[in-house]
Amino acid sequence: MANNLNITSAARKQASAHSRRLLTWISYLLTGLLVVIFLFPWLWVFSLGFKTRAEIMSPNIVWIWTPTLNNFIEVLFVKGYWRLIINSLIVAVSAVTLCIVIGVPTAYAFSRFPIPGKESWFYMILTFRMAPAVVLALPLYVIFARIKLLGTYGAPILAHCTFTLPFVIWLMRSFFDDIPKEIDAAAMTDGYSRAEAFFYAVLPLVKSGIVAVALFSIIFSWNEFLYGLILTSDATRPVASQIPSLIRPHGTLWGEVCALATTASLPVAILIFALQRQLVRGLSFGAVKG
Amino acid sequence: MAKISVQHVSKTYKGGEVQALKDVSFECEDGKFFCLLGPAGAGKTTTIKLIAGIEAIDKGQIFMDEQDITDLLPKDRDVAVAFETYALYPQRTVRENLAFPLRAPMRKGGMSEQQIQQRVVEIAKLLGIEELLERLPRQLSGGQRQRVALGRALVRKPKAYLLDEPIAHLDAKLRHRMRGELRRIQLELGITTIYTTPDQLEALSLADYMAVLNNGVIEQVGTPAEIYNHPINLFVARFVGDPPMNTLQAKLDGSDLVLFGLAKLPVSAELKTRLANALAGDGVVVGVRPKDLDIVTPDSSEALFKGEVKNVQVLGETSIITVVINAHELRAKLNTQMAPGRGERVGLKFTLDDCHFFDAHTEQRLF
Repeated sequence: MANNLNITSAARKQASAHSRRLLTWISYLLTGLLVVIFLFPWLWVFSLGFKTRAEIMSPNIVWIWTPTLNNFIEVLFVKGYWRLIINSLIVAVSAVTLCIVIGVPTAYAFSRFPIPGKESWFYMILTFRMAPAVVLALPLYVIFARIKLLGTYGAPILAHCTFTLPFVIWLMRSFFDDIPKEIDAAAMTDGYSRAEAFFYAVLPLVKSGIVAVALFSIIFSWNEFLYGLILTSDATRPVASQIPSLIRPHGTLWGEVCALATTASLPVAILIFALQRQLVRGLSFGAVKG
Repeated sequence: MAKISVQHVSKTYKGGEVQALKDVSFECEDGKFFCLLGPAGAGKTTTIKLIAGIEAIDKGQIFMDEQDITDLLPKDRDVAVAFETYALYPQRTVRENLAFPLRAPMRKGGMSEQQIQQRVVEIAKLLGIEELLERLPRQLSGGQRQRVALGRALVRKPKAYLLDEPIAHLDAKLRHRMRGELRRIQLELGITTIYTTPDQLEALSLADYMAVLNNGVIEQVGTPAEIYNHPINLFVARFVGDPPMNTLQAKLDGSDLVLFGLAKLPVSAELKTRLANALAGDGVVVGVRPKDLDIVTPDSSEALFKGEVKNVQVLGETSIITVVINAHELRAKLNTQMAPGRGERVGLKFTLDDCHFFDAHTEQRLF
């Protein structure tokens, strides 16, 4: 009997090892599929940037060619579009900084204080983000024109806050909600004021959360098109919004579009790569209960 | 060091739905060790939070010495709290957790870095956690975390310590040791301490004064001896003392007190009049502590009850036996291991002097 049991348990162990290996392979396969789906368009764009117009327009796909940097040189330096990437950086970093500075304390307040009608306010903020950009575009245009903000960096920065700020408040609140209130209470009885408790005891706990939220916000801002296009001037326009200018009456300059798109995606890619670990930690939050 | 006085404090949660404390009043003299004893959900933690100023009071006032601290910020009350949930700072090492109160901006310049480190090591040694100073809270066991939480409270010398079940999660042996240590520290520093516990033995052995809390209401305040010897109602009688006091339903019948409708306990005319005068209805509950019950042979003339031994617990020097009498259970604590065996028939006796009398209707002590 005992022997019999041993055999079945060994068999079961083997079977479970087998199915585990199968699962691993399936997950590899799915991951690979996802990578292809997400990476293929980017690789396509990336490769087009290094092709001549004739190679791009060729009815048969050109698999082997001598890479050329002409598109990059033309769009970035001859047309001077490298400045647009700086514009994007200025807009994204300013907008996100502003949103973090305002949004994180707001989220903390939502998490901790008994604000009358709190949940209604909170959902109101959320619905701001649900509004399509076009709805706000016209009023923003009129308002910014009145206060002489149109065409300055201020216009896209503030406009981007309309969707990043609700995002920051929304996500940061759930991070703060995950931190036991006793942490604040402990700091306050340890001799810290409410604000000091926030800075010294609570804020360090959501650091990776802030990094993750900021990173997402930067990506949102970086990729935003409409506000960047209509609220700015040629001098202050972010890169994503200027790509249509490469669509000319005599045809689209696909090589330059792809070169610019490739270059524009690099800063964000580098940022994500550098902050990967923080990002994962921020997203798998909640393991802070001590 | 300060006298803490809680006066008519009420607190509700969830917009008044849950009443956590109802008109709670007690006073803790300067330098005394005051225990709040009560079952889970009695309102002990709420009381601590209100005194510490972590939550706002709905009604009532709290005084420290003669100062009304009801609306003071926690940091201005100068109390140190050990939380039952530990509330350690997860990203800081044990060393930094212990140093955190000493580094508060309001105490800036009070202690040099060297003094802080010295104090941290001192307190860590006291609590037996000096090996753990460089660890993070998540790398500690529950008992270790609790000691860090206690250390973070003891590292300062505030006007009062508020300790919320500070040793509940330690193993039995360590808990016993820490109990002694805590009492020693408190006596040495003479700092007013309010301490909560669900463990009546802990309260009895530590406190100068104690309050029994139940459902947000203070049932009784007094010294441990007062509370043990003169429980004011059935709740306190059953909650304090281990094993709990036996309570026997009784009725006055002629010159006898009839227990469980079975046994007749002859009472003096004087006691009878006193009982009759004090009673609201006709029911009496007679309380007898297990230590006051004695085992006799079942056919002895002294035996008030005869029953069968259902369970025997031998606890080293003492034994606790449970005797079943017509579906009623009585427990006796005997100072011997030579207890009768299971299933044996025994007689039980006790004397009137050891009885506590309660009104069956109001559950209050009669006298």
